[in-house]
Amino acid sequence: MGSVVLLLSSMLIAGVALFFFYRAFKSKHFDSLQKDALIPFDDDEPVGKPTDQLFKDSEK
Amino acid sequence: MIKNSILILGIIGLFLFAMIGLTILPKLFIEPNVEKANVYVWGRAAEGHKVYVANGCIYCHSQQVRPKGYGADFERGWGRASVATDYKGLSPHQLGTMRTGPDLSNIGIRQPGRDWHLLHLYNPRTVIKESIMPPYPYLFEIVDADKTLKEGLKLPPEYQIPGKKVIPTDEANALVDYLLSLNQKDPIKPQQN
Amino acid sequence: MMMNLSASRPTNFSKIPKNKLDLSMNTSNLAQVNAAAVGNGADSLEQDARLDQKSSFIVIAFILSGAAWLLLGSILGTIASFKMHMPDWLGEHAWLTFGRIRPLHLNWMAYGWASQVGVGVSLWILSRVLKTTIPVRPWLFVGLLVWNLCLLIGGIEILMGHSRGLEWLELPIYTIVPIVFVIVLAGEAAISMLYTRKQPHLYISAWYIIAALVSFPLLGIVSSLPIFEGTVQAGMNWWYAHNALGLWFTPMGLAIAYFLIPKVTGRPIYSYPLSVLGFWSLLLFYNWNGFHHLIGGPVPTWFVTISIAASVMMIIPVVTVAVNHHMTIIGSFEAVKYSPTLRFVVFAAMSYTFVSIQGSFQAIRTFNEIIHFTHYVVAHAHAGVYSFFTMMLFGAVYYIMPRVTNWEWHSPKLIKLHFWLSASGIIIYLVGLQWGGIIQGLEMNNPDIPFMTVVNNTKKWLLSRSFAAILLTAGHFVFAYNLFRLMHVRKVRPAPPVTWLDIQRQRALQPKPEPVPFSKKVANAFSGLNQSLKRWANDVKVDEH
Repeated sequence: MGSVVLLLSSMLIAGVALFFFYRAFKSKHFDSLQKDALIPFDDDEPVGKPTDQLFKDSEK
Repeated sequence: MIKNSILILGIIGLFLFAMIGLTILPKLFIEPNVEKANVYVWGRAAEGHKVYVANGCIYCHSQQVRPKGYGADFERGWGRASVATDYKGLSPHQLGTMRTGPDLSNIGIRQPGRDWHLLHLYNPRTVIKESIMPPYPYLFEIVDADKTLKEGLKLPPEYQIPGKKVIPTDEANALVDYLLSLNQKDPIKPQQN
Repeated sequence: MMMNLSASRPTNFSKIPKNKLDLSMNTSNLAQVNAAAVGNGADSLEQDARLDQKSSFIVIAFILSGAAWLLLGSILGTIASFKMHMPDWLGEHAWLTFGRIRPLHLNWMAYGWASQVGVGVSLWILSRVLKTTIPVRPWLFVGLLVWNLCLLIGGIEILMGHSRGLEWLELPIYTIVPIVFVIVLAGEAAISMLYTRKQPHLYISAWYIIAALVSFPLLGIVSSLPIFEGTVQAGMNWWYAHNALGLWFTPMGLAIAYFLIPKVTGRPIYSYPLSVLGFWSLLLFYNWNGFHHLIGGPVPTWFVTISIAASVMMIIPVVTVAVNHHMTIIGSFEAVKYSPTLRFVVFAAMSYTFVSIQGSFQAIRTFNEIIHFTHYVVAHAHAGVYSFFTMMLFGAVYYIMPRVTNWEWHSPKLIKLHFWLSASGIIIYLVGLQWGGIIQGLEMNNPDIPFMTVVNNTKKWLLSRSFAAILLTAGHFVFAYNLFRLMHVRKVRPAPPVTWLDIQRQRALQPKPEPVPFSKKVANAFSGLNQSLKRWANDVKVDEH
């Protein structure tokens, strides 16, 4: 009895998940995903420039 | 803002899914069987359960015996595998997750003596020298020996206080009743005197 | 402006125009607005500075409040640890008994230190990645006061013996409910920030923070319902406790790592799609782990098996997070060395991978048979809440506080001291109790070994844990002192930090040194150590001008 409940519910969940995944894919959600990785950066703290380097060279 | 709603609904959906699986489903599957069982904890043992909870005994003692062949619970004489009906009528459950001290599911059988328990609670090292269990002297009253007719604890010489008797309070007696009621054999845990 | 670029601290607030942030096309820096591909709005350093200024009071309040609970919780934890091998110490009074001190330590650390600083840091991160201010700040402050009152009253109740009796849920319900309401308020603030944001795309940190703030109130409400008894209640207990770790602390910790690792190293997350996979798989699997605390217990086996399966599947999100963090850090270890924040954050991120894989193994029946009910589990718990989450919070606080106070930490050496006390403390803790726990479990599973022998053999490991407790508590007092000095501003501003690129440039200009023979290196090391000690002793004393 338990296994039937498990099987049906897991199939249902998997189906719902695949449905949402399909919809996201269709709405071009995944086309430029890596661009979102640039959100923390801006002009003054751009990519390639470390910040917060408090421990100065002389204190090594 | 479709993205906002997908995120929030997705989080709530996955949460509810597992919540139903781990809290509602067990309730539906387990409780009917437990309801049918004829098990009660009453009288002073129930009061003792409250003292057990109030002093955090659960942080060192478990009350769940694992099945034979899984760990050495059975070989150590701690009992048979625990079942749901063993915990009927008790809230909060005290299943426990630590065995700094031994499992207590059958302590009423392993240590059936009232005096042993009272001594052990007053200071565990009076009966087990190397024990690391905390002492519970505040569950006892220390009164002048000639001011009371009650029996004091029979303490070993190094723990005796000259001229005084150590008398258990109601809380101590209730806790001992609870501990003595802990066994997996009797469906009904009766009131102790 | 040129000076400030290398300082990477917000500009002097007096230079920022007092009117609302101007996003119109007249902003002179508009030419640089398009720098990042996803469009961050107008002049970003000043925008960030303005956001930080707005959020400063409430974020500082949560952080300082949490730090106070950290100190209290550390003292309680140290007392509890000592009581385990010196049981008669402070044993006369009911309110100091181990069975009450230990749950109070847990509750004040979890719902005081970890949760409050977690909320403060999370709101700050949301403000930065969504480019919008935190709303309802006065209400959040009132909420914080209510929260503290509830922790205080709840603590007194526990010490008086009125604990609720469920692990992780010892605080009386009438104190938990207001705390849940405060977190609902924080969640409402977060969700409204989602809707008022100037950043069109949701960064991964925002996802995790929303997940945490939405899930925890639900957990708090369901666990407070009086409809559970017996083993069903045990199941609910461990569903709650494990989700408190997986849906409250873990997401906040990961949100911090996903924001600070790129921010400090200057490199974007290695694979953003992988982080999305990690997020949803975490939510899918973590929720179901709870019953792995009841393996061998009085619940139907198939419930337990589901939890074991989910616990093993957790390897998927854990590995994705590990890959992302590790690949982002590779090649920038120097950035780690020079950033106080990243020391803590990278330590925490590596601990996350370790503790999660450890957890997956602990859920497997064969291993569980050994370590269930032993000190190994306590070590695992501290690996999660301390080595991962607390170290992550330390890193976040060391990053955020200067930016919201517009001041600098006064002594990098004290920050290093804090790090080494915490790191060495937790490593000793984990090694001692994990090793001791395995021995305890193996001996307990051998019925020929008397129980008291098993107990006696754990005593030395409990002693090592007390030693670790002292190191950790000392580190926390150093942390609190650092915060105190930061808040109690002096006239002289400490020197601004030096960027890593500047350091590399300086090094490139210097001639390569002659190779030094090993014996000379050893001699130099000893004399250098002597000089460092002298310099350190001088440095800790404040330069009064």
